[in-house]
Amino acid sequence: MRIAVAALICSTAGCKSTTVVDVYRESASVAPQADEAIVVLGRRHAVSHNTEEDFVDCVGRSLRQGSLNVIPEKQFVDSMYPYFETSTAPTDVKNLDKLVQIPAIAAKLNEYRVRYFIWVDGATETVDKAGSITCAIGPGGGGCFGFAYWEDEANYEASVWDFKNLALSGKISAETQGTSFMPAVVIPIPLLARVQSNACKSMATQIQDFLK
Amino acid sequence: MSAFTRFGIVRAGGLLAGVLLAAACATNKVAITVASDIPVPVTSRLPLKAGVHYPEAVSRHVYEEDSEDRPKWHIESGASQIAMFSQVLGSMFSELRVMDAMPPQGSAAGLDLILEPKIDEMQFSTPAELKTEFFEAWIRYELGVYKPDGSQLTTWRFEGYGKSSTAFMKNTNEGMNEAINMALRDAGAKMVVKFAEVPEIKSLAEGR
Repeated sequence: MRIAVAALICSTAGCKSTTVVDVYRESASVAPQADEAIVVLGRRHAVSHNTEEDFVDCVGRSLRQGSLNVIPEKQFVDSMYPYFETSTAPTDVKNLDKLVQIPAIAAKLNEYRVRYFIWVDGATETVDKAGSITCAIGPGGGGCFGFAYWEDEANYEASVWDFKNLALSGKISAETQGTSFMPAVVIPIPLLARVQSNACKSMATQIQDFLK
Repeated sequence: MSAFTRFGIVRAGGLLAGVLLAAACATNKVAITVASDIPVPVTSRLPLKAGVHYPEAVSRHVYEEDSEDRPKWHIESGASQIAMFSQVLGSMFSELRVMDAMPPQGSAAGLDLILEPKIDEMQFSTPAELKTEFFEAWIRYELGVYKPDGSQLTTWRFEGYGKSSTAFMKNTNEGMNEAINMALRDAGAKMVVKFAEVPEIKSLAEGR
């Protein structure tokens, strides 16, 4: 019964997410060759948000499943320490030129055979929430009653840098919204809108198309 | 289970946990021994032989606070501070010698300079304090630079800042540890990137 009610809410009221993707192409991009690599990195210098490691990891994994050679973010950032930290990372594609003046960095980048840097900036945030759930525990057991919902919004932008030409190839943005519900009749049952996950999949798909 | 399903469940779990545990388990207590993770820097070594002395105020650094908002805060970061300085300074100079004490005047034979770090200030903030989703740590250092004859060459001030998000139901200790680790990492990054540009150090290196 509980599951039926929850499923009804989910199917009638939402529990879905919608994604809007926008692609801006600055210059013609060339598909990376088989021995060339891509690195997906998160921007974390904003005061208001941190691009989640999980999101960056998800985009990287999705691209890897699409047969692209993607270097994991932590592996790359650690191996380039301290030049891709939040306070030292290049903020403009032209700054890469300065970085390669450092022989050790040039050697590492050459070793990785990096062709594209993809910088992801954004976050998933709860923009609205309402309802209440009350829980009680007594000698005979416990339970929760009530209903809550929350609306999540994911906003991400990926900047694609062509390392070979030291130029911005383009930008891809993904904006996803969705509402999750949690009815509670003894046991709370979360019905989740996969907002962040859908933003990741949409962005990864667009990046793959972009680099074809 | 995918990371995002887990993320969603954690979010939902967080809401439920808030309902269940807000009154019973809420605590602002922080008790950590900071665990740091500083990679080996990729950098060109300065052509200088350096000595470094870590005062006890650094090697056994403890931040303590006991107030209404921050009851029984006890943050031990000494070992992590030394780990960060050792990792970073060890990659910056052609030779690095760790000294138990500042050498008596004129006895630092074979060295070009002697370093002595000092922690000037530490500041923290929690999500509850600033109504954000982040734990934040900020550390300000002074790096005393001395000539082998014991006279002071310069004092270089730099900072490390780190933040960690509250996602995945991190408790205060975990969140704070991660923020401090990020601050140490940032401080190390600043040393590698900026110390060689300090005029006195630049001049010393160019003279070699």
